[in-house]
Amino acid sequence: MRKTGIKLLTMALISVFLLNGCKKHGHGLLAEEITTLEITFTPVEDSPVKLGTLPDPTVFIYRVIPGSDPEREITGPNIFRDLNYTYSIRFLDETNAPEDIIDLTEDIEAEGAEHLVCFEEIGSSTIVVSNQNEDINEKTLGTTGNIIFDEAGARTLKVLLKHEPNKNAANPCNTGSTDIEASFDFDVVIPI
Amino acid sequence: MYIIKTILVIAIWLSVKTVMAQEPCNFIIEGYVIDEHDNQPLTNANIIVAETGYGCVSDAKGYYRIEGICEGINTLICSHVGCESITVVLNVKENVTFDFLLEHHAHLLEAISITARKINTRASASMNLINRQEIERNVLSDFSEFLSTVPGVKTLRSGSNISKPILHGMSGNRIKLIYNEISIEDQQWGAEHAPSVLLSNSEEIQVIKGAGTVKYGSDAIAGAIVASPLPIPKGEKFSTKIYTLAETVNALASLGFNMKSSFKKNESMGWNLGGDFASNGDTHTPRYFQNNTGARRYNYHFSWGQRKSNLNYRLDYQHLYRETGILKFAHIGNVSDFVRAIESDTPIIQYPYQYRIDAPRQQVHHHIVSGTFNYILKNDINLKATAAYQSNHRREYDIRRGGRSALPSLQMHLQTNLIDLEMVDFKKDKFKTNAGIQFQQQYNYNNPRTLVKPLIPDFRTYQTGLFVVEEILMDKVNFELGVRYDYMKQNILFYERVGGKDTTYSDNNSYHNFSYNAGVYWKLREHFYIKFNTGTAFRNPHVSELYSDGLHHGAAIYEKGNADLGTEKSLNNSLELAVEYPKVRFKINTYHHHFFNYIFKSLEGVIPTIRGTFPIFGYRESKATIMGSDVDLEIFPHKYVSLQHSADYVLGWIGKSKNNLPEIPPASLSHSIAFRYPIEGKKIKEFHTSLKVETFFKVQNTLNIVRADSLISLSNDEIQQLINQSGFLDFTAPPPTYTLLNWESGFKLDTKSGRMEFLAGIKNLTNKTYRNYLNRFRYFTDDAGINFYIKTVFHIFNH
Repeated sequence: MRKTGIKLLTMALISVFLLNGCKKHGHGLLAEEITTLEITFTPVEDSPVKLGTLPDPTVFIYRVIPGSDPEREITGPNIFRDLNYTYSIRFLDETNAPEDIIDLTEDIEAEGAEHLVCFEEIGSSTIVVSNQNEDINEKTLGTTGNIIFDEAGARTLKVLLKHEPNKNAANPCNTGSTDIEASFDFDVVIPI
Repeated sequence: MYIIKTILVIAIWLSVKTVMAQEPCNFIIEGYVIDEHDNQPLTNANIIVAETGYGCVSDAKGYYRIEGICEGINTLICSHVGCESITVVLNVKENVTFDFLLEHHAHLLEAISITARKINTRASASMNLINRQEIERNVLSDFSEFLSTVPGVKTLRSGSNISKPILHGMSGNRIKLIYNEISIEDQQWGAEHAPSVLLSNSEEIQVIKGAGTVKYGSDAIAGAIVASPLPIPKGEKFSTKIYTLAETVNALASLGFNMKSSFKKNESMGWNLGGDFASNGDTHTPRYFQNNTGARRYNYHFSWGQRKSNLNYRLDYQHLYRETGILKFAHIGNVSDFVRAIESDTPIIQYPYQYRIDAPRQQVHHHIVSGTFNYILKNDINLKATAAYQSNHRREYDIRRGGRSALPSLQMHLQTNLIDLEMVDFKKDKFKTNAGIQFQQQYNYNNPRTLVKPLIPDFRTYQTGLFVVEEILMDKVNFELGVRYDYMKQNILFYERVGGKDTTYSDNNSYHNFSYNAGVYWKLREHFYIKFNTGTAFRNPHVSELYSDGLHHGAAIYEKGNADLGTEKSLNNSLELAVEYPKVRFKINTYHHHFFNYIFKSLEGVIPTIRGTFPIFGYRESKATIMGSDVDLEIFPHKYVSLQHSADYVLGWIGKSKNNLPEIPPASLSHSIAFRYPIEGKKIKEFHTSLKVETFFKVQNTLNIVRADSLISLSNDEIQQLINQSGFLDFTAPPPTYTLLNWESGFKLDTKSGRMEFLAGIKNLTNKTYRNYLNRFRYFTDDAGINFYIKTVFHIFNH
């Protein structure tokens, strides 16, 4: 019995170092990640102000590629006071741009029940948001909607994408965790 | 301050005086001295009471009888020619019958417990010992929380379910955890990684405070916690123990068992089998539930082995599983969410009680397979060999987009192999030599299926250590001298995506380290001893400290390693003074650690991401000092009553700047009174009740408080300037002083089929609302409220 014990122990001692053999592996691709928020403001005819010809859409872009500094771009004409805009938001993965740009907007809209778009104006509150799209539970999602800027002047608008907010809360934008936080400085001008 | 000290000294002196004056010394201790191996009586064994020096010699039947024993603590030393002496500490309240089981070499073989007790009394390091009786009452409790009952041991928490021990104000990679002679390797670098130690299979736990010995090598800067497993049963019949525990604060239910037996055909051979499981839901604080703090766990172990007079071996296997929910309030997206969370007194959203565990959560499997082997050569040299394989598989699940919450966002598999060879030479009376060689190989693998960049890279390490400890044992003085050499090689494999392409590259580090320690135990007077220990200790930087790079979503911080870190080295001094009278025991341990380069994490900048801005916690090294004191006073004013008081205080600062170190425990005070009433000749054997009052003070040496949202408006240079001017940063002021009351009562019951022990108690009796500075989730939530619990231990004999 004693010999058996010693044998067993010796075997255990040897096998312990053999058990942990080498494993070769390489890491696969990373999951797509949102790097870019793009919000397009398109003027509509039915507005408190009437313009002869409607201006072109204005596009705000906020992009953070991991390892680089954040970039903000505003293209198109100025935002006009009291003009009714429709807005639509796109979420992109531009890690491998320009070869490979992945549009994640559809994914996020498909799982809309766990997302919410929030607008915050820093220092003032002069925007009116309406007509936002909804998730499958008929709760606000907000990737599209209407927006009017009430006052002219320098503005800072913050656009947030919330993950797992409590849409039944009094202020759903104060709940959940933040997946995107993008702020833009721009001017609202009076149409002539 | 001086006046308080003086009053304290006088008070202690007076109580010692009064207690000594009342002492009745008319008890008797008697029994037999028997050879454990063949049950033959041992003649001419010496039995001495250390406190009085009285003693006697066993007669032809092995019988001994000592009269005039004083009430209280008596230390009996039994020795016999050719046997190492056994020391037993008895708390005498009545006449005692005690049989000594001696065996030639027995002490060397099995009784880590006996050797430990020897070390406990005569080693130069400060030590506390927890015996099986105490462990058994807490078998189903959390390991770190149970250890914190030892004076000077604190707990670092990440919510209610994850905790790890703190010694001398340090934790994690600065405490060595040894279980069954094996260094536990379970990703201990992470604050939210709880240690994988099984209480149900622990016979005894030694808490060694401070780097008292070179034996444990790297990572034992703040001390070591050494747990020995249940011994292999020898000549024992089959018996079973069943443990239960129920708690109200989180609806915890837990059940455990231990079975053991020797083989009928070969009584020196035996086995142990045990296991337990526990399950709980959300923890209740006085005002709300901590959402998503449920936990599940199961453990089991099996041991088989043999204990003979000169040969002793065992094989062990154990598996620990834990699944733990992470507090929902602590899951935040960015600094704005964080500010909102910490500025609200109560969590912004509170959900009702839930038993289920959702993401974020973590899951850990830890397996240990080991073999230990002891052999005594004819010339009293004890050879020990240990080999072990450990597998630690950790999965962390975050709340993820795109239906990926079921996919772990971190999945690491850490495998460790180790072989220890050790020699203990007892052959000379006055010298004891302990030498050993240790090999360890480790491999960390990140599973790529997480689709997330790993927080720490893959790595392999190879370590070798050699040590010699020489002890000189004299009548009243022991000297101890140890030297050690270590070599370690790290091979790190990185993964990076540059310009849309996946690339891998590797890096190598190697470290050579020498360390030493020297200590003395000196029994100055009959009831008074001094221990002094000085030495160096070291710790190689962990891969997490060198190369971490990523977002810690749960904590809303970005962690960044520092590849320039060197080996952390320290010079440690510890002094212990102890007075031990039968009715009063007093111990003060003072320590000082000087670090040549203390590696720590601190807030050092901010990083913008698409989610918003995050604070960066980077690793840096700097000269540092940690010093403090633990005081422990026990008084036995009446044969049924005992009082215990303890206090501790730690300070830590950086080099010359005197900037306070982060995460240094607050000062604390604890008082308890216990009443233990033995009952003769009834089914109920003993009744006891105790009350404990613990006060945790507000941390005085605060860091520089800065609001997270004002921090992100600063540039990284401005943040660095702020640190240089006024010290390290924290987001909120430390929580205020609080006092907790705990009560426990119990009794023992003998029945025909076995013995039962019932315990019932209340933790946080006053349902106090408080936050614990050492809880990393103190920013988000209050701590647990009032908790009623019931514990039982059934010992079923087999007739």
